[in-house]
Amino acid sequence: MTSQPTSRPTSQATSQPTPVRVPPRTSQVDLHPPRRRRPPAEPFVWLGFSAGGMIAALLLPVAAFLFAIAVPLGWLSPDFDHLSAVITNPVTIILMIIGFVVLIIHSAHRLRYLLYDGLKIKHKMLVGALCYGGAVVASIIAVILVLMAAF
Amino acid sequence: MSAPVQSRPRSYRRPVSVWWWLKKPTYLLFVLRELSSIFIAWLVAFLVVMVFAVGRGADSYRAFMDWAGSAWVVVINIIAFLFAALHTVTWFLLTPKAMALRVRGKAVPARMIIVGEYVALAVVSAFVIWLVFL
Repeated sequence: MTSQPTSRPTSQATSQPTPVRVPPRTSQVDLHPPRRRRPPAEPFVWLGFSAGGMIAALLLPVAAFLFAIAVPLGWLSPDFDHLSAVITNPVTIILMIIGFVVLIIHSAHRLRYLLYDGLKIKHKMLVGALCYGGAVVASIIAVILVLMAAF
Repeated sequence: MSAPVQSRPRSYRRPVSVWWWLKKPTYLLFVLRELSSIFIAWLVAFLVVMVFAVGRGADSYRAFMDWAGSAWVVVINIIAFLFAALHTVTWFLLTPKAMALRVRGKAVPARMIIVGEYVALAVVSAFVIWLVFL
């Protein structure tokens, strides 16, 4: 076994079409199987999902409480000119666009698994296309509305 | 309900009921957590329209808040707020499992990450309130 440490890896590497790291000695079990090809969008969806999840966790409770409960019920009434100045500030506009888009991606990604696993709608491609397609459309509408607020 | 797949041979899988998530509290919590996505989408839509209304001036902002003060919108928004809070709690519980943080080669305990997230939540909330009201 110890007499041929270099010849075995090279002979294995030539027999395989892709250069995969060859594990030494344990030739029966492939410890590093070639990775399954994934659709290239998946890392970006996952990035949007986790970024959106973090933004939702940190910002949505306070935003929902202020603007969806406290202000409509008259508990708090922010000065409109100040609120308008804050919201139409270019920095706020850019941050809101990024925030809203990743929140939509996050929501669509979860909705996909809610429909697929929760309601057991076992049409993976259709559910995925509807959720992510809907997310793209919703993102475009959100960006347009936010930009219209600024100009 | 759906016909079992017979085209390719594979091991038998017992069909799972659509109501599988009512069988255990943890399953229910999982589905409620995933359900938060619908209310997060609602809150995004609500906030986007509010931003749009603010951009159009004081009158449309006031009209929007009058609409937002109607009973059914308030009820939806209170439910949405509760789901947003559920998302926050479950998300903070999950992050130490998804993200292994290391400082000088030592793993940061999960408890510390969660505490840090709640500190961040407090800071962000205070900042938003300061931004809107001061």
